[in-house]
Amino acid sequence: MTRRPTPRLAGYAAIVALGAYGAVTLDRIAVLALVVPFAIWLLVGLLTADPPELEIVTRLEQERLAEGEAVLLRAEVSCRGRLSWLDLQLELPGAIECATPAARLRIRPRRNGPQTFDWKLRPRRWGAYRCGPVLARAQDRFGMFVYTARLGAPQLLRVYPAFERLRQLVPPARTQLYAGNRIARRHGEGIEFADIRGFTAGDRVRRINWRATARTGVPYVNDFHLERNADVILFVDSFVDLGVDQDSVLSLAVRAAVALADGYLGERDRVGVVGFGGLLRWLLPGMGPRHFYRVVESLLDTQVVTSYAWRQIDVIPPRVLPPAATIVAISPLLDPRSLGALADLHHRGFDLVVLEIAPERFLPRAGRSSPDPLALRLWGLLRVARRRSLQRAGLIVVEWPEGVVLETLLAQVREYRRFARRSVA
Amino acid sequence: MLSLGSALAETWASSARLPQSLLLGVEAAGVGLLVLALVLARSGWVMLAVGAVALPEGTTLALGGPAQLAPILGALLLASAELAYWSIERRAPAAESAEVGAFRALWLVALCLAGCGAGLMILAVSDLPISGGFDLTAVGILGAIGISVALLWLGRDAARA
Repeated sequence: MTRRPTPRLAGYAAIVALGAYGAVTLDRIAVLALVVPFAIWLLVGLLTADPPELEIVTRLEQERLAEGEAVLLRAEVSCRGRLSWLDLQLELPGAIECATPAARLRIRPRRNGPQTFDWKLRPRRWGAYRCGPVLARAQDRFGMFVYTARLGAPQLLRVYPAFERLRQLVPPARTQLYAGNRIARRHGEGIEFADIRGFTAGDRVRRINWRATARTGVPYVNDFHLERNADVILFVDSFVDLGVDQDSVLSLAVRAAVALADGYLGERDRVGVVGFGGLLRWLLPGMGPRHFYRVVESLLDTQVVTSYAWRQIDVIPPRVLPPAATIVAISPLLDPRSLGALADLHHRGFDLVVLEIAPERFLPRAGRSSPDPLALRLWGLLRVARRRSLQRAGLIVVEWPEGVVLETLLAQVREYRRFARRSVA
Repeated sequence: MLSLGSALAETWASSARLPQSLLLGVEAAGVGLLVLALVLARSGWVMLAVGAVALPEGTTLALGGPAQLAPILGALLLASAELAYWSIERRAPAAESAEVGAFRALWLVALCLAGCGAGLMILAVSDLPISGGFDLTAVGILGAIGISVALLWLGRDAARA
C-alpha cells in the first residue's frame, strides 16, 4: 500500500510554523492563537494516522454469460484502521460498462466487519474480459495521508456472443468415416434409398426388392446411402477489423462462426476453428455439445493483432485441416494474405465456401472521418475485382451485405452450388 | 460556498479593524485565489489562498492589534480551508455516502471548536500575571523542543514518502 502526504499536511505545517515563528520573534502570543486550530488539526491528524489494513475479495456472480445480460461483481471489503473515506474504483476493460452504481464508489469503511458492495456490469460485446482489480484509495480521518493500493484478484468474465439459430446449413460436399446425420454418396447400411442392384452372396434377405425381383425373375436388392458425419472448419479472417464494439466486421464474423458451429454440431458434424490473422489460432475438429463451448471460447479471444509477417496456409497444422473437410471462411477479403490462403486451400482440394462480409456498412457515414465517395467507389471496385478473381478460380464467394441474415446467405450458397452443378452437367 | 462564506466572514471581521486598506487588497486576492482553487479543483492552491486571507490579521496582531478575536478567526480559517479541501475532493467522480459527509462535518465542527477553545486558553494564560524567570523559561524551551520532536516523529513517514 502506497502512502503519500496530502497538500493539506504541508500547508498546515507551514502555517503553524510561520505562526509560531512570528509569535516567538515578535513576542506576540496572539499570533500563535491564530494558528492554534491548524496546530490542533495537525497534531490530532498525525496522532491518528495509522496505515490501514485493507483487504478486498472480489467475486463474479457468474463467470459466463450471454451477450446483452448483466452480471454482478461483489467486493467484500475488510478494513482495519481509521479512515475518513475509501474510494473503490473497479478497473474495467472498455467494452464493459458499469450499469449501477458508478464504477467508482466512496464509502466510509466500517471497523467491525467486512462490507459488501455490488457492481452491476453489462458487457457491450462478446469477449473474454478481466474485471478488476479494485483500485483502493483511502484518506485518513484528518486528510494527512492518502493510501493507494490495487487489491482483489482480477475476475475472468466470458461473454458469449448472441447468434442466429440456423435451420438450414450448407451441406458439406464430402463426408467422413464416422456415423452422423449426413447422407453419404457411398452405399451401405442406412435408411435413405439409393439404388437397386442385383443380389450378391451375403446380401440380407430383408433388403430384397420384391417388386423388381418379381418383375424380372432375378433377385434384386435395395441399396442405401451411408449416414456419416462431416468435418467443417470455420475459417475466421482476423487480419483486419472495421467498426467498433459489437458493430464490427470481426464481431459479425465471430457471431456467424458461432451460429455455424452450433448448426453443424447439432447435425453431429465435427467442427474445427482456424483464426487466421496476425495471431494464428486453431482448434482441432471435435463434436458434441461440450465441443460447442470449446469453439465459442476459442473464438472469444479473436482480435486483430497487427503483424506484417506474410502468413500462408502452411502455418496451420495439418491435423486442423483434415482431408475432405468443408471449410467455411468468413472474411471481409481485405487482406491479400487471407486471399492467398483461401486460394491455396481451394487448390488443395478442400470444399471451400467464402462468406464475404461487406465492410462498407462499418465505415463512418458522416463527419470528418467519413471516406471520400470517389475513394470508396475505387475501393468497392477493387473488392469486386478480388471477389471475381476468387470466383473465376472456382471458389464459392457470397457477399454478405447489410440487412441480410446468415440463413439467407447460406440459402444463396446452396443455390450457387446447385447452379454450378447444373452448369457443369 | 461554505468555504467562501467562512473566508468572507474572516475578511469582514478583520477588515473592520484594519487601519489600512492595503492589507484588505491582499485579503481580497486571497479570497479570489480560493475561488480559483475551487473552480479549477486545485487543492495545492488552497493553503496559499488561506495564507493570503490570514496575512492581514496576522500582521495586525504582530503590530499589536487587539487579540480577542484571533482564535475565532483561526477557527474560521481552518473551516474555510477544510471546506475547500472537502469541496475539491467531492468533485471526484465517486458517489460519496451520506455517512462520510456527516462524519467529516462532525469532526470539522469539533476540531474548530477545540482549536478556538485552545486559542482562547492561550490568550487567557498569556494574560495571567505570572512573572518570568529561569525556571519558566527552561520549561518553555523544553516544551518547544518536545513539541518539535513530537511533530518530527509524527511526520517521519511523510518525509520518507
